[in-house]
Amino acid sequence: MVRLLDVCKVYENGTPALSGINLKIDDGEFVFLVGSSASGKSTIVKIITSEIAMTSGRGIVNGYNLNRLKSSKVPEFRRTLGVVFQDFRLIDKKTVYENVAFAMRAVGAPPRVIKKRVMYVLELVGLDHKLKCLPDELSGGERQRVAIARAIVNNPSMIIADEPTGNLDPRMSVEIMSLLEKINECGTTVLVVTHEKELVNEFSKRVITIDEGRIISDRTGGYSQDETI
Amino acid sequence: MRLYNISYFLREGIHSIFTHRLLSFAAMGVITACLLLMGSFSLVAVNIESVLEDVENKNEIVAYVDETFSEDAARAIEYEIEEIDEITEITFTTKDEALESFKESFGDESELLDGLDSRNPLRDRYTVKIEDIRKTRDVAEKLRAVEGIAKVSERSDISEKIVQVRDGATAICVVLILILMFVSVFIISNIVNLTMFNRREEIAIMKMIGATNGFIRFPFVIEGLLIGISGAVLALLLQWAVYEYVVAGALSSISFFETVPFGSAAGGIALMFFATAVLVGGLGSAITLRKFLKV
Repeated sequence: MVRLLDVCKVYENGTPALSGINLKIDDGEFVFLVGSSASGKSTIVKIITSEIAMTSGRGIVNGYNLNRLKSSKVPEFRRTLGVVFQDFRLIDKKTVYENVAFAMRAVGAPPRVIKKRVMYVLELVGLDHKLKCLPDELSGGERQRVAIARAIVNNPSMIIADEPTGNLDPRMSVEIMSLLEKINECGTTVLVVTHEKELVNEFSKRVITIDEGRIISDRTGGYSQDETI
Repeated sequence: MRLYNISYFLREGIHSIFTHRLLSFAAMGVITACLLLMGSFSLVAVNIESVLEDVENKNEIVAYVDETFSEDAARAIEYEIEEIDEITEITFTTKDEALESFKESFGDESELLDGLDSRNPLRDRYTVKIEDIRKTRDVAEKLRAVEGIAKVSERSDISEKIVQVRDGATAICVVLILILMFVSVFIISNIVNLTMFNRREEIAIMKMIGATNGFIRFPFVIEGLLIGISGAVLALLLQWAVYEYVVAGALSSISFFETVPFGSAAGGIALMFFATAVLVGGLGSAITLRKFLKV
């Protein structure tokens, strides 16, 4: 669940990034956040994940008040989120299994539970046969599936995917998006940040368009014809 | 902290040393080299101290008893001398014993002194040793004040020189060791910094998936500790081998100089090595990691 109320962000060098953002995403929703480069999409993601603080406004994510979130509570808060990045961000020296298991170890899960759960999510993303591979030995699509497995392994209430298909070919992009849709069907809120118009239009979902730090459209069923990004 | 977490941190720490072996072994090598330099200076200091202590022990004060005192009267003033706090050892020598010893020093030509037996010109005397040779002048003054002591022979000028040399040598060694320790910490913290920079992405990922700072920090600290301790063990072994077989061997040809056995200095050196290793390896990693944890 995300609630952003009149959120503004101006970076330290004076660059305005967001202005008067009002955003409401309910539990279980699947939302595309679209916009051109430097439109403010990544800034919204960074505010939602508490990577940066908003300059003004109010925000609540998964029950945590971002304005009052103490740094000691940030790890606990981030465990309610699963984040997937364009560049996968897997740990190169760890195997597929270790990359996913690591997220569970970080929350203090016992080894037996970790083994069972990791095997389950890797099977879910179709990589149970590549447990011992290192990220370098996988294709782009496979790496992104490992990243998704890592994002969902702790049962977060929300998945945030920041340009998850940016480094993938169109066929693989649809596959990754279908996987995220499948995860959403199990009840997890999914927020996908992208600029790929065709891909968004293949899925009939809620689309929020942002331009120059402002939300210019919020509708269900893909882009409207007059929106250019 | 749960047991499986501890075993995980240990495994991660050890695994990480081998995964990033180039940097790990570079750090270990630098720690070993720095510790070896520190250890060598410490051993030089210990040996200088030992030589000067020997010289110091040979520094005595001789108090001559008034010749009008009989032997019994001369012995009777010992209790007054005993009251001087700084004195650690008192030896009374009668004038006859002194003459005998004087003759012995002439060896075969001692018969030249035979005429002195009936008219012994020497005096009964007390030879005293003191705890701190800085007090030589004070003790001599106190001895002079004892009734029955006619003359006091002391070389406070030599004592003062010894003290000066010892204090100077100790100060130089301490300063050099401190400089080396500072340089070691500087070099090692740079290597730790480089390691962390190399793994900043990994740290950022850990933060993003909700790992606490402690969870991220522990394997790094264990890794730093293991590298530091391994460097210390290696340095200690090399120090022992070089000192026992190279330095002591080379100096054994100098008859008046006996090196301090490694065993007697090993405890202090090992303590210094391990303290430095723990400080720069463990604490260094923990502190350096702080700036990479702000994600």
